[in-house]
Amino acid sequence: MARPIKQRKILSPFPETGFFSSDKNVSEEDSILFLAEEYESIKLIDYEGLDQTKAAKLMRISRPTFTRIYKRARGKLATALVEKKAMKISGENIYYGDNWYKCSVCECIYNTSKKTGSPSCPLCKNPGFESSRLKNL
Amino acid sequence: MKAITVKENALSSPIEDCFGKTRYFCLFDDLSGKIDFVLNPGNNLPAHSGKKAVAFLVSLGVTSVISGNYGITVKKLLDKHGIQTVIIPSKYDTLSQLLGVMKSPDS
Repeated sequence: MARPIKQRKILSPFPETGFFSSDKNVSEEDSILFLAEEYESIKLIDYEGLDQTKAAKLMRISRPTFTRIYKRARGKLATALVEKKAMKISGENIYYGDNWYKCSVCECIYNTSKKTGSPSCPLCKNPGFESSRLKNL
Repeated sequence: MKAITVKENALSSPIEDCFGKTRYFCLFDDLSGKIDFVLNPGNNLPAHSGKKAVAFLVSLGVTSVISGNYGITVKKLLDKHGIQTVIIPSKYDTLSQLLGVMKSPDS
């Protein structure tokens, strides 16, 4: 039996679930599935400017695994840009470093720190039990 | 006190997605409901603008920050100072829309 895939650590949740294509003729069904770990790899390398070793450490995976994820992410990104396809972001094999909650009323995502304590929504004051703890996107 | 990242110092201002590069912070007092606009001292810096912004907000006594996106360094600093991080979805276009949710007692 193949070894199960190790979960990848994601630092901050992503509020949106994808991007639309500017080309009206491209259908939404024909979109490219971007995994959360691929999105995170692009963010860490190209947006934050980290090197691959540091980014791999942050995601708690080996450097060669990170390189494979990053290569796959760039390939998908290039396909989406060139073929004007929409992108959907989703992921299951991930976990968050913090306790992140999503409010069911105002849809904001928030973390809990030691000082603030209560998990109630900081925006709409929705009690914590109506918010769900984020496990994946 | 909460700090919201905004592009202009007006209620009709759009919400700024990037925490460090925001031009203004809208300070919202939970108890009185009073709002105030302050210029982000780090908005024109070529680098480390987030660090400067966090130090500024800590000196003002802010307990939670509301924005669309945070960098790794900023997130670490906010956690270190015990400041709550809130990520808002793009359905909130303007500051007044967001304040409407925050001030409404029954929502």
